[in-house]
Amino acid sequence: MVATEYYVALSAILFSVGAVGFLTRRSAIMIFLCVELMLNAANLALVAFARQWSSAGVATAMNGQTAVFIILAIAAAEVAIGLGILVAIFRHRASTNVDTLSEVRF
Amino acid sequence: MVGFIILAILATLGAIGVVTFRQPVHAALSLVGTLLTLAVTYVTLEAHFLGAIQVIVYAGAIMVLFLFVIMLLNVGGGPKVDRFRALRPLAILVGGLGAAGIALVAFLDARPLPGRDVIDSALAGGGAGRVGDALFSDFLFAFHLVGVLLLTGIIGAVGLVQRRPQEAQQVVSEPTVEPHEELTHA
Amino acid sequence: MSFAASLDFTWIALAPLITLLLTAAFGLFAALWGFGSRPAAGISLIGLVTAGVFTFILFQNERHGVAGSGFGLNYLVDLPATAFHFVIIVGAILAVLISYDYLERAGLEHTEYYPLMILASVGAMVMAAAGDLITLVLGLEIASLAVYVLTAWRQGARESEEAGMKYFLLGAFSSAFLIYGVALLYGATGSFTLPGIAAGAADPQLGTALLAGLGGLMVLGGLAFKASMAPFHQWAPDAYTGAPTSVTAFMSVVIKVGAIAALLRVAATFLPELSPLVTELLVWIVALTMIVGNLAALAQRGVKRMLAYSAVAHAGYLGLAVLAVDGGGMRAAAFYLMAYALMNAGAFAVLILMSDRFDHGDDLERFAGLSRSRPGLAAAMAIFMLSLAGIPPLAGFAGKVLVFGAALESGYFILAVIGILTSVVAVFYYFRVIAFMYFREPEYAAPSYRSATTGWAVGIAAVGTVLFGLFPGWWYGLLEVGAQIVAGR
Repeated sequence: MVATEYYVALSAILFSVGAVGFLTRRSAIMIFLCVELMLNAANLALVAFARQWSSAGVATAMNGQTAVFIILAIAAAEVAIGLGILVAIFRHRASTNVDTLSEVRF
Repeated sequence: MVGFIILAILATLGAIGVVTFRQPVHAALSLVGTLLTLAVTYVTLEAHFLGAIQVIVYAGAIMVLFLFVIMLLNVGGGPKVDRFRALRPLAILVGGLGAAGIALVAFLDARPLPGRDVIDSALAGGGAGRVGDALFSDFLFAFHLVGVLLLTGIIGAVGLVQRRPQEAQQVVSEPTVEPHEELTHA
Repeated sequence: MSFAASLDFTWIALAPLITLLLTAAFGLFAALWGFGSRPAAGISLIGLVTAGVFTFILFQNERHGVAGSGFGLNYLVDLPATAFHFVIIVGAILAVLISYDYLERAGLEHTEYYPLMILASVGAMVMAAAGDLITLVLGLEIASLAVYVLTAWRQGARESEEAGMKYFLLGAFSSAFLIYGVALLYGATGSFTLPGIAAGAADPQLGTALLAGLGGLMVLGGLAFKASMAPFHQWAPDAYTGAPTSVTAFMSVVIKVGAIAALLRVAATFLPELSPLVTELLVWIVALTMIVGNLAALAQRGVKRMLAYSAVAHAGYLGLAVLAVDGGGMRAAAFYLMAYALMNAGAFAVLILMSDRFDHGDDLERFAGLSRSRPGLAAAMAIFMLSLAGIPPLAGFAGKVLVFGAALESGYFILAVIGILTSVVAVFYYFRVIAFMYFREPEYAAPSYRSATTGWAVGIAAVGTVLFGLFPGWWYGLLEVGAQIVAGR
């Protein structure tokens, strides 16, 4: 079996790629996709840690996996709202480029 | 280990695709690839139920919603120049350092993995039954709150999108200023 | 915990939450049955007052030593939580009063407005009472999602759309950091509950101190974003300025209470067990927030944007209370937040009466000569400005004294000095508004808009600001005794 730290390293890579994408992409929908990537990195870390915590019994280990389930629901709700805002704004516009929304300063 | 390396490479390539493809559809499909790879990874981590959910809910429902919106808004490829082009190497550097830092911490704090039998008895493959047990005991309150959260999401999305068209028309034009207030703020 | 054990909740502990959820449902049904959104305001007020009564009953119970909790220790109804709930409900009541006429005038009356406000309050209340990080994240998401939508409520207006989009994207980014931090803390300690994480982080046997520290950093960053602390505050001025003013009043109070309450709880439980670097970082964040918030507010000409930066600055003072949580910071923060809710919501209410229906016309020049054309309004605004600046004998002064006192007691001498110095800077930009109102000739026609409900909100907030300033002992004294299960241990 592959040790937990390798999975955490993979999740760290995915998280960082998502964060870099968030900072460098300009289209709102692309930025949003990068956030999804970051959430998935967190989920991967949770699942890996859940297996590691098998040593502490059923409840401790399964809590990690169940948290992934909850975060999935959070992501779904976030997507509903985020795409709702996108559609509401860009129905009448040509592009989802955040720069056409003038200065979106970070 | 070979399996993990293949999965890791696939997931990373998908992730890099998300942040480099110019066409949103390509980026979204690239993310679907990463999500499916992660689903397989969950199965290798004894989380079968989550693997299935990942495919059905995430790669299925959520990403279809994304693709639908991309099509609906007819989002094309953006212009070539990205935001903060000059800062881009810096962002990549910081991201790389961040990833290296987290990974380093994970390796420094690494603990030996429990034995196969311990994992099997605790997770039992991560089936729906075990997840359900945890969901309706330790996570009972969280489960209720997820209901509230999804309700908020529905109400919010409907409240944003379901407006009468003439109203949108009316506000798209520049806001009119009341007669005695011809100057807007500087 | 078994299924049966998780069902041990006391209904009364959940009564305020259930009341508000029912209120949101009734508000939606009222619209569904064709009553429009105006009755929803009345329903929301009734629900909020009922929830306030329940909260007060719980508060009294706590003071007599009956510590309640719902769902095991996932939802802690202790004295601080009920106090914060009370502040949230007061803020929400003021926001509903402010919104009532404003929405009609601005053409923003849509059915979902009040239910979303109520749901956001529910989320903030859950944050304030969360006993584990998953509950905390869920409360934060409920509150945030509702407020993202409300920020973008004015469709077609660039500022509102931009504000909503920017707030949403940055908020989702910060949530991702928060959730990753939660995952790392679970990896380090094997627990999501606050006491469990504290116990795990304090256990040297695990050998996961680095992981726990990294997770703590990320959780701290995510929560500091929600509390609009520098350097995670960039969204705040734009979101506060772009959102409809009634929403600004709401979110500058309710979301901030939730975030600060969550930070206080984290600081009271596992933060001291993590690497001292994490606390050190919080010190820097707080110092930076006080400096950046006040200096940026100094440079603003628009009063709405000035108030947005002032909200950042106040987050810094509240951060001081978070650091001083062992030296009475919890009580000080509860008092400060009550004062802040009243004076901030009041100031935004005055702003609504000043500006046109698109929220334009909030620059300083508009306030010139207000003391002659609208003496009552000018007096109320003067009270709010003086209180925000921390001038005795108003509520803001008492709050600042308590917070700085707690900081000194906990040994944060330099931070307290920075706080006092920046407060002196703050006096300048708050007084500028008063100077324009009282010592300048009017340049524009006097604002003609009047609204009874907004007027009530201004009145309630002004009276509250004065009373809490004159008799700070009442609210502060109430917070003194009682069952403390802050840690959930």
